[in-house]
Amino acid sequence: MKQLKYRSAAFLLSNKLDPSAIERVFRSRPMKPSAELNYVNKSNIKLAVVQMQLRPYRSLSEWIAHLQDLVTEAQENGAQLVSFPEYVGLLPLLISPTFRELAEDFFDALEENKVDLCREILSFFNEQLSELLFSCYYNTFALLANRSRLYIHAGSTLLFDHGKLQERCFLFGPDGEAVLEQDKLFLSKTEKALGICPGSELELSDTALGRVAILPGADSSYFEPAKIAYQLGAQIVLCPVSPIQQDNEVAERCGPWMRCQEQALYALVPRFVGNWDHFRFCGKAAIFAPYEATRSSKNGIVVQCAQNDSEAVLFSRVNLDYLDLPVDLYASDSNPDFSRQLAAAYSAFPQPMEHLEPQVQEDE
Amino acid sequence: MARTVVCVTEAFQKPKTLSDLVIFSDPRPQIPAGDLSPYMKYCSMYAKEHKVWLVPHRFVVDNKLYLCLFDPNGSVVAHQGSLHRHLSSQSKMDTDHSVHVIQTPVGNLFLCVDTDIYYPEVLRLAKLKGADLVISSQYINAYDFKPKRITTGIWNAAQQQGLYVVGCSNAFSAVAAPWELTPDGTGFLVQPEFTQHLFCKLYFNKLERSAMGGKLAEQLNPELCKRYAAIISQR
Repeated sequence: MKQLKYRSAAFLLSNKLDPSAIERVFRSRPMKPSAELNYVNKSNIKLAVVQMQLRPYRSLSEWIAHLQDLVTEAQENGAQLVSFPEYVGLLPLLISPTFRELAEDFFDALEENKVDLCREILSFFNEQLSELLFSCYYNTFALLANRSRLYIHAGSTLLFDHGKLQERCFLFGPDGEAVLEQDKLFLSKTEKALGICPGSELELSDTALGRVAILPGADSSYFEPAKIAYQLGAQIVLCPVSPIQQDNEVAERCGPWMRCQEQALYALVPRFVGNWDHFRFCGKAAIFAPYEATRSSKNGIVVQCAQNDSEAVLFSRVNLDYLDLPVDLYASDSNPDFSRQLAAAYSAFPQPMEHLEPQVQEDE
Repeated sequence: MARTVVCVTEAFQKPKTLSDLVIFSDPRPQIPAGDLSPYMKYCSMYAKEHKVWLVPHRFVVDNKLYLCLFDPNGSVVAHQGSLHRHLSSQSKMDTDHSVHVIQTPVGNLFLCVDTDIYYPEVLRLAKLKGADLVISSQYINAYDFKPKRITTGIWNAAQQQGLYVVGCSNAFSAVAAPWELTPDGTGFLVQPEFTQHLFCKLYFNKLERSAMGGKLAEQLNPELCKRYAAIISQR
């Protein structure tokens, strides 16, 4: 890596992403505060998810203007909460042509399975960029929430915190305070190889709109995090799922959509779309719900983008009372003995337990 | 064990040639108690005659709903009681206590009895115990049959655990597999249809290719699972 080149670029970027620069952009481009949170009716919650077009930014103001336009569109449709995609916090990096190039190198190395090069780039990120980028991400979204007077789910960002690289998500309240912080819990093999560390706790926030949890990336592909969230009282889960390069509705149904069917939750799924270098990101942003809560379509989809290649802000009203589903006679029994056995199996992780090996039973 | 040929058929009908594992499809909720003894005897003879592994219809013993497995010698080598009940039978039936995964030449089998297929926790434990093939035999009331019964049942089990699930019920027969392994990407090797006949080849080495295939324990978050073990396990 050309250390000197990147260090100079980091210095230049730090001037551009200064907190006072962010404040200046918001001052020069004021937002109209929303009145939608003045009165909240749990049977008429207004949610918005962003299907965000990836685009090169030439300046910080361009990036902030893009975010403001999306929030304004949601605001005009009466939204009370707006959800942004995973890794949205890394976008300011692309303001610098040097780091745009470096990011492309990173993805190329990832594709060619050159893990060492990826780790080297990430190590530079941890050392020189993480704090700078995080401060820009946090300040921008806090101001976005404060100026729009809405709940803003700020997708996620990468953060080097206490010696650990983590993917962290934030939900900002209408006063601009972070009301929920969540680290990604389930990592892919690649993420583990890159040295990203998983979180170990699931946080919930009691917002004016209901109890909210965040399940980033693959967290919504496993039933455990959604079940924990549901058992702790969550009603809405924000699922900034990983950018994908293949549009497959069946594959998408294995994630947040299925968690809604299992646990009676509303799930918001924001997405990135568009081309970047030779990568094409697609996938449709959506709001999912249990079958029974989608009363007209009965397919578990409250709303979903029709296109997977253009920007859109999806908006829908949801009724939290619909989550009080009628008892499913097929799936509502309990078995304390079995629960104990399962709890023992989970408690024994990660050591494989001998009694968990398959065995042939004796004749009876 | 690289491949298993599964055949779902009406009780005691001749299985398709090359079948390794036969599952009897029956429209009744279970074998009536009075018929159980001769039924099991005929099952034993059937397995022996056709040299197949056999999962016959559900039956009740001591107020527990069971599935069992015959080997090609006609012996019962395993049984699994239901761990959860349909709420309408909660007062009349008892439940089993543990998940048994059986290592056989036709796969590491988990016999999923009736409504257990709707509990991802049951399938998770089966997967952690090494299951790669689930035989789900269930009864669905006609007025309750809707897409949810398939998607939250056998389809979800196959996608969530990364294994094959043969579904056999009075309402449909189907084979679900991780979507990456199905030619049309739907997550079904054999689409659900109102039929009592089905024939399918399952290649176990392909399971590694799916996102949830392989050793699942390595993919889960150990610290999170330990911390919330009680919450995840409760209903």
